Amino acid sequence: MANVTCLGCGCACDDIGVTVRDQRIVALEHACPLGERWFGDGVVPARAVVRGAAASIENAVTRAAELLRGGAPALVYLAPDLSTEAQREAIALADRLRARLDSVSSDTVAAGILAGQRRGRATATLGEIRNRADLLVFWATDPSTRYPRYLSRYALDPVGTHVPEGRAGRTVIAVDVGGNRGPADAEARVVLAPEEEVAALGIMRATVLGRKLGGLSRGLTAAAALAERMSRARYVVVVHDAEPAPGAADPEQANGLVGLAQALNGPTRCALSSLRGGGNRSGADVAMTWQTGYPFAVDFSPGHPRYRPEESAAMLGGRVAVGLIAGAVSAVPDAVMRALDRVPLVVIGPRATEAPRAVDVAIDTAVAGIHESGIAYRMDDIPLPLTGFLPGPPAAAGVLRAVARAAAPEKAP
Amino acid sequence: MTAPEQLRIVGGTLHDPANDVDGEMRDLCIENGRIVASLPQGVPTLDARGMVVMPGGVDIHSHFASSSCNHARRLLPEEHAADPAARPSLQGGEGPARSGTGGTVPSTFTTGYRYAGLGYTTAFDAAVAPITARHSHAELDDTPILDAGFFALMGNDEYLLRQIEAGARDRARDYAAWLLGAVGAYAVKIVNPGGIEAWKSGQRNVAGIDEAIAGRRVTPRAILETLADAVNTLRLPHPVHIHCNNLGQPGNSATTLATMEALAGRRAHFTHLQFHCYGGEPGKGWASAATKVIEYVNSHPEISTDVGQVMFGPATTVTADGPVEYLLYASSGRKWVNIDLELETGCGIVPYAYKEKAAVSALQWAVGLELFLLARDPWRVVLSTDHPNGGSFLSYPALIQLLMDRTFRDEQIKRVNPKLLAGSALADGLAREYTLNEIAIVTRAGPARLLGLRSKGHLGVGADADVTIYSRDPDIAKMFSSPRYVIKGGCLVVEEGQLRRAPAGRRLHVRPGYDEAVLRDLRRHFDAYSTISFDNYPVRGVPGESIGSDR
Amino acid sequence: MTDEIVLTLRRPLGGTVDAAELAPEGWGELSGAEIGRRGVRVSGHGDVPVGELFDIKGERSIRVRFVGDLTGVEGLGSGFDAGELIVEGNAGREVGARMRGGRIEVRGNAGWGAGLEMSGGVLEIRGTAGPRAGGAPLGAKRGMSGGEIVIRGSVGPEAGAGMRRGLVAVGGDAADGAGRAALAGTVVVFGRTAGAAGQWSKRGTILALGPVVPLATYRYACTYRPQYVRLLLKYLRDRHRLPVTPQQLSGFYRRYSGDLAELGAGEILAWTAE
Repeated sequence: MANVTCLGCGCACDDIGVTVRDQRIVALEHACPLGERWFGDGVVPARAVVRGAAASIENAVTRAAELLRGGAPALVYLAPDLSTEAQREAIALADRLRARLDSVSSDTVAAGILAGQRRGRATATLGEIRNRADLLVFWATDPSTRYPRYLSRYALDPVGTHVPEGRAGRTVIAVDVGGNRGPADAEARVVLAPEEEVAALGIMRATVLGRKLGGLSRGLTAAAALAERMSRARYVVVVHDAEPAPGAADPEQANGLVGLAQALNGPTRCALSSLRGGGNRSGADVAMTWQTGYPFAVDFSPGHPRYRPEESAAMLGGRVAVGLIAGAVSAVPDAVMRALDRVPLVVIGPRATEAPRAVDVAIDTAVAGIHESGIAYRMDDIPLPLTGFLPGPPAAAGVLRAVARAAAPEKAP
Repeated sequence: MTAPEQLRIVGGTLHDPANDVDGEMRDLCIENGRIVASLPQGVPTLDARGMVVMPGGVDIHSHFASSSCNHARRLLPEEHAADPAARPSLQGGEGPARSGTGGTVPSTFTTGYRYAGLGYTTAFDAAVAPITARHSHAELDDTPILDAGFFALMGNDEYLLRQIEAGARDRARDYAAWLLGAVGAYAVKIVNPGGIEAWKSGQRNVAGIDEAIAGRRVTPRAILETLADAVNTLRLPHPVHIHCNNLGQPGNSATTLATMEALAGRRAHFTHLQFHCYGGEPGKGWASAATKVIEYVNSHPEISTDVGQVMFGPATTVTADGPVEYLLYASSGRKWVNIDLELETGCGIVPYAYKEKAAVSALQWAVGLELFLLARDPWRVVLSTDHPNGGSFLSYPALIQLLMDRTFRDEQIKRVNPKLLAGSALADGLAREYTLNEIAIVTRAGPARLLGLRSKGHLGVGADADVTIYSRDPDIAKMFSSPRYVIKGGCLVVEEGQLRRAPAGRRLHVRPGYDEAVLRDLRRHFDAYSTISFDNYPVRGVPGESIGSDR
Repeated sequence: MTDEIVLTLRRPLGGTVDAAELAPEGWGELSGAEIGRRGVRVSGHGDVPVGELFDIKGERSIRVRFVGDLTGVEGLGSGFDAGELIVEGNAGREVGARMRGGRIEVRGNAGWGAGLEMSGGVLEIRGTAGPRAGGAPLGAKRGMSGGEIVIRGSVGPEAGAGMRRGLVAVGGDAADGAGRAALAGTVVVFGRTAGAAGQWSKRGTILALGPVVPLATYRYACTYRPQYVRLLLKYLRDRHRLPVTPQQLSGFYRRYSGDLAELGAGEILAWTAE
């Protein structure tokens, strides 16, 4: 198999070569360490479990439906490793159950999404970064660990239509914020204390808008100088990790980055590149938006979607009486698992039966992109095809649809 | 199917201009989703006595199922919160009804329900970046009822520009043909030819059709000629669909006329013409130039337009025309999204509101009406608001009232800011009132014909049974905003003004032939500059049959 | 017709109650029984008649009083446009959201988003208020566009975030981000104004009578005695009985203009005791 899409991180590289022998992956081409981990050998459990005992899929679906349809407030949670087809089914189910609906995004990229809703944003797809960027500013992030091929495949090394020299045609500047450092081989660095970070972004935006500010600290002075330099570049790309560890960044960082990138489009061109994790996370935002109008944190209880970003899934402990996790349960943030601590839980997704806690119903499904075809979104919201190339458990989309049919017959409450 | 497979619509007054039927009382027979000549006695009937019967509406230019629309949706939580959409109470058997949100860019299910509720049964998304085509198909899968397709953005495509620069116009045509089929699109769309590439390259924009694009040996004129010729040589059902350079700028009518003249003698569709008919000069004021432009259209039967009327109230401007949106952002201070899309195009979004008391809004409103009222051939001047750019598709009924009712229109004119209307034809008084038949032309028969949809936009034998039935009402806006019955493909979707069924729509797309020699070259281009493997680029399994390329 | 309608909570609320559709401003025409039949949505139970949750006394009055701990009641007084609504106890999230007129008084504390997007009327909170009082919903650009919010206690983060017109007066302290991204309007803080006040704001005034440290993107302009501050403070003293001192009325104010990362047409006015 050639040109397989990898969902190991949000780069969604679609050039992976896969060698399969005896229904196992035995070799990968072009895959980074994250990709190798994500593909593994392609062998996943294919079981269904009800209260710890093996069950047929049909019985597990029936039991899941019984738990969900009682009318008790439900949370439907989109974890990673779902195809967008499965995400759509999970959203439909939440609509029918008048449930709360949320995804990993509320715990990772919420601040960035909200800043983007308040201000808008200036961005570009990864290929446009590759083809045009002559100045890259890495804001408190070095993509090489969490997004291993971002630099080599997209942003930095390749030759682009407007950057025929490739890496030699680009300048890299690192902004180090506390322990979050930019790439080691940057041509220049700006060092900021964490408490200076948002102020620096404000100063930089003010500078781009042509305002002079005096009496600044050393870090802020350097930030202002960086802003001047960015204003003189041809096509600036600001790269940040949109999914830092929870609580790692001031939520206003996102506002500052969005605002800076927008302002730079006065004197020059600028795009903000927001790095996203793997497993089709962006797809959850995209599908929720087209079906409900909101990218995460939806409350269907009024009978229509209502946006509740200030009440993310992790904050719903005590307010929901049953939970459905669709997708890879191992990637659900601890805080969300805690919120679901004492309520009946259904898990439908890859390796569901290996959930870290006892659940009422677990149904193993295919991994989208290994056993299941469909589409998934890259971190820049570009849709890519997934091709199932190994036999495996049933696709999550079909299981979720079956649960929806059993849980909420045509006439909804 | 829960709807009867046979249905006789009895006693309605038909307006079927494609078949020269203008307000005749006739029965209409439907069998298996199509119009048939007759049915045996005893089949189910629908009493349409005293009602107006038209083909289902056809929207030739709208933005409702694309990646850029979805970015707009994401941008507008306050609009969605203000317009929640409960699930309609459908009759069983058509899949579960879905809730959603409205505003100027509704969620997908709500979009389908609301279009159908308006009596529209076919619509095209006019601007899809081919690289995001998969996304559009997925949205269309979730947009019920409408038969729908989309136009592929090509006017700033890197591979195409390279072919034009190299003088390889045949290869450019092969590429366009391949691209349409590869992504499941229906037509070729040009947005601000070369201007988006200029924006991305730091040139900001191009000012006219003969300006070099980003220092390259290619001009907007060459792009326009190449794609217009390609589409006509390929005999695609719809001509090249053009959003001219300099949208929204004072004095842009000169560019618009130059573009029309550049394509003289070629079939071409000029979209949202209202936004391209301004006199005056940048920085020195605005005026209407609608008369001049529509006179050109009137005397050139090979070209067609849709108006892109501005309606007062909220709108969301969403377009591939990135440089225009930057200007709107800079002048309005509103939210702004810009997305540069690799090798193909751009995307800009700014929420906006047209206000009666704002001089430019009033001018835009007047220009649109002038185009409608001065157009001599309604078959070539389609009703549109460039949804959601000039206003929501939900404002079509109000627009129809403006066209049909001069008294109402004159009252509205008195309310708007007159500052820029001096000397405009509308201010001087235009007496024309559209007839029901003309409305049927500009909202269904005309667009269907221009789109090459032979089984849409009319009620002759063999046509798709897409039928809208209105109760007569002296309040024209009310009559058109709430049809009594809507039938889609033979299925009764609206009954007594209530949405009752929401079957899936069909996908409309083309698959023209091309010389496969282009593929090897294209693969090299992808390998050199794309971030997607050439083999992964085409959309597999586009649903539905492709529409024939013959006219 | 009675002087007022009193609704007393029968027993503690088990879950959350969505009262956004309750519309007490329209009760001037309703009998007690009719009010009792109005529905609110209780989580896990669907629509529940008001009469099951509350004991109702009185009828046909535009003065409505709720008694009990209404911490779990959301959206009480949403869209309120006339009359008087009193909560003797705490109110949950979005009390008085989008209110357009009339007067709402919460004698206890208010939750998230009190007076969110309000456009008119007076919302008084005797205790503390949660985040985003008078603000915009998260992701939205515009907060309150008119009216007055008076909070006698302290207020949570982002009071008046995105506000466009109107007044938020805080008797106690204001947490981070007061007046953040404001388009105009006034926030008055009698206690301490925490960090990032007026961040990303285009216009608007933050009047800080206690300690405040302006952001680096606010530039010191001058120290002066603005006449309108005097008028505003007198109004707050006389109309809302807020504890304005003579020194504040006659004192000097340091003016910082900003946010220079935005339009820069806003200001922080910091009272200087001397």
